[in-house]
Order: sequence, then C-alpha cells, then structure tokens
Amino acid sequence: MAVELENITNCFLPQLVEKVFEHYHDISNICSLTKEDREQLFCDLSGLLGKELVERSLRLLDEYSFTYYYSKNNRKQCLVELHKGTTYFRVIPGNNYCKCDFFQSCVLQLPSGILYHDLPSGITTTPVGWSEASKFSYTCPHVLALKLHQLLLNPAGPPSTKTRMDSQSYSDYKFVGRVDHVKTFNTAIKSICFNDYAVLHISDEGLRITVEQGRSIQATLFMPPGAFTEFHVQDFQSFGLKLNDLSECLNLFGSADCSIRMMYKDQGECLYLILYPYDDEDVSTECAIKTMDCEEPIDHDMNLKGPDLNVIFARGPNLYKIFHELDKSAEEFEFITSPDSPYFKITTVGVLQAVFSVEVAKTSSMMMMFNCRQTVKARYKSQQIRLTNKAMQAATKVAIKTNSIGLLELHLVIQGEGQEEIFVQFYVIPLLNSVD
Amino acid sequence: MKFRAQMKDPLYMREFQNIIATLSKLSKDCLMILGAQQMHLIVNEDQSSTSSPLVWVSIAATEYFPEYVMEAAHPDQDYIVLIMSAANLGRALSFLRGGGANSCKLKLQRIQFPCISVACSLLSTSSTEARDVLYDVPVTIIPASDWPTYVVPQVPPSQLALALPSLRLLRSLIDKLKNMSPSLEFQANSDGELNVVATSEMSTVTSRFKRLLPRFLSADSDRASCLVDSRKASAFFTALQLANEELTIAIDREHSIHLQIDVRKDVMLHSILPAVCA
Repeated sequence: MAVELENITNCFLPQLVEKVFEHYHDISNICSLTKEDREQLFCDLSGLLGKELVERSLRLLDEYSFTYYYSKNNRKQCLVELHKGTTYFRVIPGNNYCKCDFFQSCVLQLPSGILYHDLPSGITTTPVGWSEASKFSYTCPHVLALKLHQLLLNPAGPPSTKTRMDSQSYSDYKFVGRVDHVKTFNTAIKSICFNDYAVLHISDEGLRITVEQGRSIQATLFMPPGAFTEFHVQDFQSFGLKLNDLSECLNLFGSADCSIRMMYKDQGECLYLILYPYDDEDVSTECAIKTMDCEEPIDHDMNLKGPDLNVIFARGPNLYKIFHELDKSAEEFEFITSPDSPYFKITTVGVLQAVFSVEVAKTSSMMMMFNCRQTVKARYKSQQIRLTNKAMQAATKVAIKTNSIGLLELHLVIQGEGQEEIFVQFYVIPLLNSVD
Repeated sequence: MKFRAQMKDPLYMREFQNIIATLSKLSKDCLMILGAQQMHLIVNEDQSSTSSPLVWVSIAATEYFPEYVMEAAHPDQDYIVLIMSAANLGRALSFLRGGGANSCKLKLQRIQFPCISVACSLLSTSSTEARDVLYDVPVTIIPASDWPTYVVPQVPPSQLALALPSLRLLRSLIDKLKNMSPSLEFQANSDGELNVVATSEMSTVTSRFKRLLPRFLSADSDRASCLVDSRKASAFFTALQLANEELTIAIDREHSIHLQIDVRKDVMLHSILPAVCA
C-alpha cells in the first residue's frame, strides 16, 4: 500500500481520502501517473469509500462533460458543471456537497424529497440501483468524480499553493534558499543599506551580507539556516553585488506579503531571486542580479575576542528610544562603559560644544545583562552611529561590546513573526582623539 | 447648439466621477466630443511633460444618462466639440464621490462665456432638504472648421491581447519598476502569459503573470512584445481611479501597447503607450 497505514490509522475518513488524493497529486506533479499508480489509487479509494461509489464515479468520468467556470475577479473561485444531455450537477471543488439525491439521502441521511423542489427534472427522487452497503456513504459520485477529474484529466490541476522544485534541479545551483515571509529579511536588508556594494558569504553556517563604508564602519547581516525554510549550499560561496538592487527587488510587491527563493549557480553568474506574492498565485517576479568579484571585508571579529571585553545586553525598543532622542546635530558621540558608576553613558558633543548626556544604571529594567571589566571611554562619529538607527528600530535585543581601545560592536537581533531570527552586526571604529 | 444630460443612479455617478478624476490626473486640458449617442473624453499627451500618455474614454450616452439631449450648432453637423480644464471638471464632479448625490445634471450654456454647468443635488444627513451645488466649468467651443484636428483616436491593430483580472499587483509593480529602468518590455504569448521586464545596468527583473485569458489572436501570433517608456506606463496606472476592473493589454509588435478597461459594456477607457527604442 502506497500510503503508510501506521501513520494514518488515527485519522478519520475525510482526512484519509484527502491524504490519498494529496499523495497521488504529489506524484503526478513530478511525473504523470503510471498505469500501476492509477490501479493503486482506485484500489485505495475502493477500500475507503466502497467499490460501488468509485466505479460509479469512474463511469461519470467517462460519460459526462466537465466544465470549469471561474469567477472574473478571483481565479481561485471556481464552479464545475458535470453535464450530459439535459442532466447536470454543479459542484464546487474542495467542498463535499452536492445537490444530487444520493448525497441528500445516503450522505446527509435526509428523508428524500423534502429539499429542493426546484431540482431539474432529469434527477430522480430516489437513488435507484444502489446496494445496501452504500446506504451510509461519505460522499457522492459527483464529488468524487470531480476530484478524480482534477487529478487525472486536468494536468494543470487545482492550483497548488506550494511552489516546489524537484531535487534534480538543485544540483545545478551552488546555493538555494527559501524564505516564507519576506518582511523581516527586507527590513534587515534595508537597515544595512548604507552603501552601494555588499559582499555575500554563504556557507553551511548561513548567509552573511557585509557592507562597509570607508573602512570605519562595517555592517553584517547574518541569517542562520534556521531562518530559511529551505537552505542548500555547496562549499563556500562568496560574491559581491549592488545592495540597492537587492533591496529594491525584495521590495517590489510593497506591503503585500510574499515568499522568496534565492538561487546562485556559480561564480560569474547572476543571483536569482524569485518572489511569489501570496495574494495571487499566478503572479511571480524573477530578478537576476549581476554579481561581481570583490575584496574581502576586514574581519573585526578577531579584535573582539578575549576576556577584556565590556558587554552589555539591552532591550531593543528601549535602546532605540535613547538613540532616537540623542542630539541630531551633534558631531560626535562619546560612549562610556564601566563597572562602576556611571555604568553606561552616552554623551553628545554638538555645535558650540553643547553637551547632552544619558546615563543608564546597570540595574535598569532595559538591561538584560551587564558585564563590564574596565572603564572604556571612546568617541565615535555621530553620522556612523546614526546608520544603525533603522536596524535598532527593528531590533528586539541589542548587545553592545567594546574592547579596551574602544572598537564598538552593536549586535542586534531582529525577530520575525515566525520567531525566526536575523542578526545584524555593526562594527564602528573609534575616533583617534578619544585616547587622551 | 444645445447639450443637456442627467444622471440619476449613484453607482453610475460614482463611476463617471472616477473616470473624470482619472483624466484630470493625467493632463491639464480635456477634450469633450459630444455625439448623438456617444460622449468621448480625450486627454492628449501633455506638452509640458512627456510622462503622461494619451487616454480616451468613450461612453454610450444611454448607459449613464437617462436623459441626454444634444443638438449641434447646425443641423448638418453631428458633434459639439469642447475643450475644458480637466481639473475644473474633476472638481465640479467631486461632490459625487461621497455617494450622497441624488442626481447630477450637465448643461452647456452661455453665461458671459460658454460653460458646462454641473448641477449636483446632494442629500445631507442633517436635513431632509436636498442641497444643490452648481459649478460652472468654462469651456472653449471648437468651430467645425478645426474638427479634423480633434478626432477620437483609433484603436490600433494588435497581434495579441490578454485580459488581466486584477490591476492591483501590476500597478504597484510598475510603480516600483519605473525607478529601476527607464523602459519596460511587455512580452505576451498565446498561452496566456504576460511578462513585464525591466532591465537596469546590474539587474534584470521579470514579472510573470500567468493564466490570463487571451482576448484576441491574429493568425501568426504566438508571441508579441513591445518596449515602452516606464514613466508613461506608470503615469497611466497611478492616475487610474477605476480599481479592480479587468484590463486588456493588446500588443502591436514594436509599435505600441493598447490598454483598455471595460467599465461597462459600452463604456471603455483606452490608452496607448507608444514603443520606444531600447
């Protein structure tokens, strides 16, 4: 038996029938059903629904014409008319309901003739010629015939919401990734979109997109394989592209939610993005973004290892509020992290040396963890700190790390609706005059 | 010369208002050609900006107007041809938008200057009395000798036409694509697939619309494509106030794209996007 019985014995009849159809639909998606497959299908259905019902459905399939009517504005809405001569039945795909008398009396168990006085004359009032075994049935031959028709004769079939790619074509690509909801990814990309060019690194660990500006600020977006619905990669892939193009492509459908598939073949080939909006399954957008070779970004991670780090974990929304309220005209920001008071202090030095400062105690409720070993005082260009604003706005958690010379790392966690996490890291180099 | 028309149905009044609003977003001036059975409204490509396309609407008088009287200046003439400010006409009809209108009358008359008087009778929530709003839109009457310059455009021939059931996605897509590329290529094939391709220096974006209904096929047309100005296309879709109507896209290979929206059986909005060089 093709469908494993152990898995499904605790399901009820409707789910069982559904499962059988799903199973054969999956098969027919890959290749058309063979003679053996069909035999097995009819055998499975006969076992579940009774031989008589299946045989009658097959006879309907041979003798009746099927006409599909689609609604003008919504192609998903459809009505099917089964007709032969003056007799006709109208069935809605996916619904187990029919106006025929068999359905009324043997499925719904209604006394015959009380409903639908307006039935067309071609339909007899009592189901004739059915055996006793079919007195209690799950469905009528028309509904079943339509299901079979969709499976066997209509190769386009009911529009499948899943977009699948068979495993064969994966081997052509060095990287294939699928994300179900593009929104979080889109926000994360937008938040690091401060320079034109970006470098992508893809390995078993995940996808890493790095952007630099003048070697003094670097942003990295990191998506672990868990943030993807599907993630396949061969070896280690690295290439550069224009980040603006990527961002624009992700944003093509605006606020409409869509799923996205990314594919990359090999060095020198384009990165393909295919977007499928959820509103309309007949629409898709394919973006081919040219890739280029590029030099490796600086690895700041090396400098931020070791025991002498000051690390603070804070809640994203609170920290965003603080950053948002900082003096926008200021040229420089000074960060102090210290094991003693003032613990965490941001001072802005504005025009005319106007000074504005915020202190956060280590007992504050916005602090999730506070671990500072030494007092570090460093100044940064406010412009560069402000580049982190967009990411900060979307972040749920932020880690602030500095080493003894003041190299600042902001490590932000952006959480999507499906709890998948995307990480954005900023490395900011301190200003020279801070060592005084 | 005499023209009088009256609308009574709130649904039709709103549709008429939407049509005028669409036109007023596209161009300064609007040409009105009044025939015995038909009303044509035309906005030409704006001279000042090259971004708006030619759009025209043909309305069968019986469809919208239960009362429609047109008498030309001479018994042997068939038309009255007028030019007016599209924005003014749009403003005059804006009272119909709320849906509280009882009736709306259009009348050509001469006060000190020729004008179309738009009289809307509005119901207000606070009183039982209807409120009349009168709006005079100044018009310029085009003499018969100049008519040859003002004719209703012809629907161009096409090799392939596809019907797109919903405009929503296409509209926002084109709006985004115009920032990527100055020109858009529309490719259609007889299997009901429409591709909109935008090519920029570093990327190619292809949007696929599948399972559309082919409306018209000429014998030799498996596929047809045409490259058009993306700002023109975007201007048309942004201006369009008729949401969720079916759009027919007809492609004349290398010449033009003809867009048609059937608002009703005899009320059609057309636009032509001319081809550009790659």
